[in-house]
Amino acid sequence: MLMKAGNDPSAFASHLTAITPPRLSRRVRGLSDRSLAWLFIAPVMILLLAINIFPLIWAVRLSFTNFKSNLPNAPLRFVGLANYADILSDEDVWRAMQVTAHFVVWTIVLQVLLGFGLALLINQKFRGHGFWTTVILLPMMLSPAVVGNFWTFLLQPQIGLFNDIVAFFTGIDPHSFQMLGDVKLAPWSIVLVDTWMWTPYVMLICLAGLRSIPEDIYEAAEVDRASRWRQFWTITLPMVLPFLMLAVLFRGIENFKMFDMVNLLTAGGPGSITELASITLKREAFEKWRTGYSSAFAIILFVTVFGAANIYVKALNRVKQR
Amino acid sequence: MNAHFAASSHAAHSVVAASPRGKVIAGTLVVIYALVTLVPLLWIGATAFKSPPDSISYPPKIFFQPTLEGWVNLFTVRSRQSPEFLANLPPPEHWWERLVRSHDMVIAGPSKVVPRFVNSVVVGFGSTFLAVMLGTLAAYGFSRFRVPLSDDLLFFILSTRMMPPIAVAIPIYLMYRQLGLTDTYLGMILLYTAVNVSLSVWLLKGFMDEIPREYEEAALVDGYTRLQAFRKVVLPQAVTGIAATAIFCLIFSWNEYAFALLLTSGNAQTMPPFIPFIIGEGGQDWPAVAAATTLFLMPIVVFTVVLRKHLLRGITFGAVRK
Amino acid sequence: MSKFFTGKEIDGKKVYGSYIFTERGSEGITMGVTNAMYNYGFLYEDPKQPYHMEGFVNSPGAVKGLDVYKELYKCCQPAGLTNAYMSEGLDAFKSGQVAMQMNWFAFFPGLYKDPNVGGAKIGFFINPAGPKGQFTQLGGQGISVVSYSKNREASLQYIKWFAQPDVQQKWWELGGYSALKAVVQKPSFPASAPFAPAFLKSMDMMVDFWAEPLYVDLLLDMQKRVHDYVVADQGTSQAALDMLVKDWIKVFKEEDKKAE
Repeated sequence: MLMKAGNDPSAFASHLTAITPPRLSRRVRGLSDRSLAWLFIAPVMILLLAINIFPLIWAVRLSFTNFKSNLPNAPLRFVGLANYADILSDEDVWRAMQVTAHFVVWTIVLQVLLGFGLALLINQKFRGHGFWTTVILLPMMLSPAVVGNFWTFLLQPQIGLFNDIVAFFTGIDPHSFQMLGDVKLAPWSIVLVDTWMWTPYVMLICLAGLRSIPEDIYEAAEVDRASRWRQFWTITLPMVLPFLMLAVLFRGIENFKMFDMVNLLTAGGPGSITELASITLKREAFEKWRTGYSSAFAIILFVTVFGAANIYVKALNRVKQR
Repeated sequence: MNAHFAASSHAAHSVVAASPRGKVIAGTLVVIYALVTLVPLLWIGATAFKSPPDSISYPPKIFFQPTLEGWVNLFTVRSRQSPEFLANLPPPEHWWERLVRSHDMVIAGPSKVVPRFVNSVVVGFGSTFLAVMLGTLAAYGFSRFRVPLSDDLLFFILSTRMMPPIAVAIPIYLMYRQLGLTDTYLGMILLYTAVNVSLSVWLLKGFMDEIPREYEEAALVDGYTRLQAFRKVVLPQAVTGIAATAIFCLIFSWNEYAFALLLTSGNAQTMPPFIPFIIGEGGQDWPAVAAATTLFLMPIVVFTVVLRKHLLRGITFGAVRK
Repeated sequence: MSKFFTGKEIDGKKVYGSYIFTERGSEGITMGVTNAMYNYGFLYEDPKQPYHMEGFVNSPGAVKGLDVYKELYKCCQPAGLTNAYMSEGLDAFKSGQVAMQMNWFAFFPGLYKDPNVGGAKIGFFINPAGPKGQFTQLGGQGISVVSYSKNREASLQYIKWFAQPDVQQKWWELGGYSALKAVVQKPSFPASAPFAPAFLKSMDMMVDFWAEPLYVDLLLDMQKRVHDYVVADQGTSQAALDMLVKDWIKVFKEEDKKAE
């Protein structure tokens, strides 16, 4: 009987329903075997509670104290919301948030433009597109920390390749600028490296979106004599939009938390020009050992992302319903 | 849109028939992009075969005499000795010893790269296996059973990804220290699994949602238990999705830096915290760093190329379409 | 002198006049900048009133000293060395990229022996004087015994042995640096190495950073303010030092020390 199911499941199932006595059929289709459900879900939940929630609660508790990890035996003082007040009124923290915002916005813009553009091009299915797609995927398979590290090598004004390549194509003197040390260029260098690394990710997601659009919709549009441009605006874009939004969501969350790549590329420098929120957090937590203070900062960051993601996911769900 | 199209990996074009000229233009643009983004990787690959002075030559050298010095430096620990000491040593047996002696140094022993690589393999594949296994179970649970508050639970699972690792590191470190899990395989595997599980549950639920329920219902009627139905009917159909999820989980665990840096020191330290700190005699030993980067990239590339068909499916979350 | 060399092309490569510390992560730029600031009147606190920093950390002299350091950085530092400390300086000097470098005495024996830049080609000089005196920043590591070590007696014995005049003399001859008077005040000392006279003079004029348990927090704050101004062009030198005073007051207040 199971063999036959492979050929035409829906017909078979409805046949089953027809011949099964009502009570039994309800049990079979009920799908509410509660205890089994919890058995399946429990391992994940337990793991997450232990590894994620417990530290989160601990961090919340710490954020109300003046705990310093390098002086664990010092008298612990509950300072209430003093840490939070400190952080929200600290100029340097706001500066770090601005740097982070600049980074998140520009990386997303560039990666969406490039990634979506690439996906559209690849979807033309020219010869060898599979091979070249795999080649494009390579940067995102590297460790972000290692990428940050070797890009310092590439961006070095004297021994690095980047300046010479730019000079080759634009004729600018390779010694007249430096990406990492210049106050104006450093924020763009972190955007550049992140875009180099993650554009393939956005491209993949958009490609999946493009592939999921059924052909007959386009065929119908052709019959209607809709121009290619119109097809793009009324068919392609709206149907890829959910995928695009998902890519933006994941990249946004990751880049808001970004630490490894930028820390190894610029260490937040020069000065604090590229000091992202996570780097400030690391300095407070692991150089000054102000654990209570940095826990408060972490909670603020978490709440920000959580709130923004919540709103965004609701919007995403609405787009999906269309 | 029908779920029927979800499994379609063929057909959809952004226009019904791309003109041959359109394909050539698209192909050219994509190839240009691929080559441009490939240049940094090629440069790193080349640097792995340069001698240290060549790697930091100013201006950068495109043509150079290849040597395996970077690789030797990566795998050994050397010390500089006086000429008198060197003169008194027995003659070098292997080519690598000769290479090192020619720089007035002797090999003092193997470097830590092999243990670090092994650690990466154990922790990377271990956590991927666990994350995929737990994720599959939970995804099945969410997909097939009526779990109360499932939307909220799923958002909660996503939200575990929103906390910056730097912030979570201190409570986790303190917790691990109590449990004796710092710098252990188990500790790192659990941690990475917990982080990966959020992604794997979301991805796999999407895939499970796409698999028609009629198959399991038929099996249940046939007298299979839920668990047997899960194993024999659902799992085989979910293989593609599982493979895709595995790739993403592996890429994360393999390349993770912040936790590895903060929670391990000797025994369980993986490659990412190791590579940027491969120091030569004055600053970083770029050929050795490049060699390590290339070596470390290889397994992921192989894994991805082997499973590349599934990678594209990996982004086609059913969650987006419904 | 530094400006003379900067920007010229020697052997087809662009060269620079000088190299100074700019490292941000640990202590680099502070170690560099204090060399300039001490000579212009920078003090960590009022000598008559401990923890009274206002007016001493950000005095007009201190501001001028900070400006001098920035000028030297802006005019003559090699491109790309915006976060550089000891090894980058050595590389830049040894490869002929800079005419002069700022670095710790510990490296001078190795530099003197270097085939490319050592021997007769190299000279050593002490930190130049400023209007308010001539001082130099103290480097080096102190040696101490951990109070809960299991080998306290053996450690103390070791220190006693190491501090003996003949051991210190041998240490100096091997390339280490001795601060023992019995070694450095010998008449033969200045001639024992080309950098010996400079070392001797430097020993007399050393000033150290805060010798406070909280020194790490104080150092990190100074690193940030100084680097922001010198390398990243943020604000003015007066503003940088004013903010530093505020930072330091905060650090002390958190440990319940009266500071202003």
